[in-house]
Amino acid sequence: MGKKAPKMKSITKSKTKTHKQKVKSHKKNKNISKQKYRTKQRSESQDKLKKPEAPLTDYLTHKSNYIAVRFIFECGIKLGLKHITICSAAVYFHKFYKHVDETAYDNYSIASATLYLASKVQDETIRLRDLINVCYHTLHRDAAPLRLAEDYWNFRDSIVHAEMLIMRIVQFDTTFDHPHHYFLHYVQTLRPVFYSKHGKDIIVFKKAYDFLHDFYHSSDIFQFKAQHIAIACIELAIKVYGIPFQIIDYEIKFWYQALVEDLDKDTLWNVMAGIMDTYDFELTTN
Amino acid sequence: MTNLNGVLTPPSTPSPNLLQMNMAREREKYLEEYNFPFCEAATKFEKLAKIGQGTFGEVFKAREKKNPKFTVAMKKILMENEKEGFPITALREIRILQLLKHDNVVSLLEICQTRATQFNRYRSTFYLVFEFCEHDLAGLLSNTKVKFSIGEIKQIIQQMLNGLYYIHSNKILHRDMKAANVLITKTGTLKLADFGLARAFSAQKNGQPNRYTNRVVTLWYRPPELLLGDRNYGPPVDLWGAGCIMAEMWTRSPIMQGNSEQQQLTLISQLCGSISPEVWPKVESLDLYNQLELVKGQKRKVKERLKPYVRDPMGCDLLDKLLVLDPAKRFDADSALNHDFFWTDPMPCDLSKMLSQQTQSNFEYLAPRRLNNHQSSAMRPASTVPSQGTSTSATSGFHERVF
Repeated sequence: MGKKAPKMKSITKSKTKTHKQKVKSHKKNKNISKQKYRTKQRSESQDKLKKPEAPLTDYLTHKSNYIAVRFIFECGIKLGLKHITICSAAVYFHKFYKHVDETAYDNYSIASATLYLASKVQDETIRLRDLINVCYHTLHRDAAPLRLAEDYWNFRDSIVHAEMLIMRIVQFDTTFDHPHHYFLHYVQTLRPVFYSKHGKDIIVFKKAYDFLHDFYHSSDIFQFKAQHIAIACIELAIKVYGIPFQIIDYEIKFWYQALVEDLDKDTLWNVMAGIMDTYDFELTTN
Repeated sequence: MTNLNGVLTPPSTPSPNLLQMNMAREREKYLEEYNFPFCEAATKFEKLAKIGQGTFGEVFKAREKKNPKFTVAMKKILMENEKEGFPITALREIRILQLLKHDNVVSLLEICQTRATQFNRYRSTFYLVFEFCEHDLAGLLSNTKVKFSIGEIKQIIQQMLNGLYYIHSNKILHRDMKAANVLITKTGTLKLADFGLARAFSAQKNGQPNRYTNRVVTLWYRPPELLLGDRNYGPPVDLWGAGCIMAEMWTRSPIMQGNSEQQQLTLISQLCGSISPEVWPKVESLDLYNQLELVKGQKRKVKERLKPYVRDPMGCDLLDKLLVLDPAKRFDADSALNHDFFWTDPMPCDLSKMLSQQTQSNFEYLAPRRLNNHQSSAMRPASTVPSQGTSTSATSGFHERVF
C-alpha cells in the first residue's frame, strides 16, 4: 500500500476535476474530497482546464460526523500522512461514534486524536506539536499560530486524553481490513484488459479510488466486506464512465465474480448504493 | 463529559483562577466516577504473585475474583512517556496479539485498567490480561529435576517452530526469542510470549531496504546479522533464536553467553566458524563488518561441539541448519518443520504426563532449585541473567513453577 501512496496523493485531487468535464453522464456523483489541500497541487493543475474550486469548509459552523471526517482527511493530507493512515483515523472515528452519543464530545478533538492514534498504529508517528498546529489552523483559518502557552498545553492534554478514551471505547482494537489492499490487486488484474482497448483506464481507476476514499466519510463502511467495497468502487466508476461492454460482457459473466466469489449482483448494488448515499450527506451540509 | 468538550474551539475569555480550580475538581471527580463501557476494572482480578519483571514492566499471576479457579497473567503497560499519550510499543503489542490467534501463541484475553484516582494523578494504569501458563522454558531447563525425553524435546521444538511459522506467515517478527519467552502450560502446550519487541515486516518497499532497529533480541540469542548492524532483516532473526533455544534443550543453559556484542560475535564465530564473505556473501556491506573485530580462521564446528550434548544425529543436523551465519541460508520455520528430526522415531510425544509429575514434585524443590541455580550462575554472568520472574513472595502456600 505504502508503495503506491505518493502516486495516489495526486489522484484524489486536481486531475479528477479536469476529467470530470469529460464526463457527460452521471454527473450526480460529486467528489467530496474536492476541496482538500489545494495549494500543493495547484501549480501542476494550472495548465489544465480550470474549474472553480469549492470553498474551504468552515468547520466551526457546521458540525457533523461527516464534516469531521472531512476534517480528518484535510488535516491528514496536510500532515503528509499515508492514505491508509488517514483512512484508519476515519475508521477509528466511526468506531468511536458507534458507541458514543454524537453530541457528547467535541468532534474535532476526537478527530485530531484519531489521526494521532492512526499515525502511531501505522508507524508514521507525527509530532503532537505538528498535529496541533495543523488542526488548529484548519479550524481557525485566519488565526495566528498558537502560542506555546496555556491553550496549547490544553489542546495537547485533550488530544492525549481523547486518545486514551478512544482506545478504551474501541476496545483497543485498532485492526481494520481496509479495501485498499484488495483494490490494488483488482486494479492490477484489470488494467491490462482495459489498457489495450482504451486510454481511459487510469481515469476510471482514479475515480474508483476517489469513491473509495469518499466512502470513508460514512460509517456504512463497516457494513460491507472490504473486497466488496473495492469491487463496488471499481464497478461504480465503470458505470460512471460508461465502458462499453465489448470489454465487459455482463451477459456472459459478471467480471467481478472472477475476482471475488461471494459477491452477487444484489450485494454489489447494495454497496454501490451505500457509496452513493455518502454524497447525500454533502448536500445536507452545503 | 465536559472536560474534553470544546477544547479545540477557541478559548473564550480567560477564566478566573477560582473557576478553573472548580473545573479541575469537577473534572477529577468526573474521571473518578466515569465507567468505561468496554474496559473493565483491574480489581476484578486478585493478584497472587509477581511472576516476571524486565524492561517491559511487571507481570503478575492473578485470579478472577468471581471465578477463583480462573487464573490469568497480567502484564502492566508502562506509561513512561505520558505526555505522548498511549505508548506506541504497547499499541504495537496489542495490535499484534489481536492479530495472532494460534495454539502456540499466547492469547490476549482482555485489557483492563485501574480506576483513576488522586493517587495515580487521575491516570489509569492498563493491564494486558493473558491466559495463564504454568511454566516457561528457561525455568523448566534450569530445574535439574525436569528431564526431557527426546520425544518430548521434539514436541517442544516442533510447537515452537509451528508458532514461528504462524507468526511469520502473518508477517510478524518476534524479535525477542529466548527460553524465558517460551511458555508451556501444564498440559504441554507451548506458547510464544512477550511480543513487546515484535513488529510487522514487509518485503522491501520501492526497492528501498527496510530500516528496522537492530537493537533487539536479548544478546545471547541475537543473530550475527543484527550484531553486525543489519537493519534490513527478516524472519531468520527469530530462527537463530530458535536454534539457540533448541540447543539449550540439551545443554540446559544458553549456549552463547556473551558479555558484549563483540564477545557475542566471537562466541558465534567459535561455534559457527569465522564470518567471511565466502560463507556469507554480502556480509561486507553490513555497517559494522569493518568496525568490529572478527575472529579469523575459525572452522565451523556446530555439530562437533553440540554432539556430546545432543547425541541425536538428526537433532544435530537440524541445529546445524538453524545456526547458520548467513541469514539467507538459514532454515526458515517451514523447512525446519519438514526436517527428518520430527519425522523419525522417536516421534514427538505428549508432554502433559511429564509436566503433571513435575508440578507436584516441584513444591518442595522450589527453594533448593533456586539455590542450585544460584550456584551454577558462575556459568552465566549474573548481571545479565534473563528476566525470569522470581516469585519469592510465597502466596497462599502453593508454589507453582511460575516464572
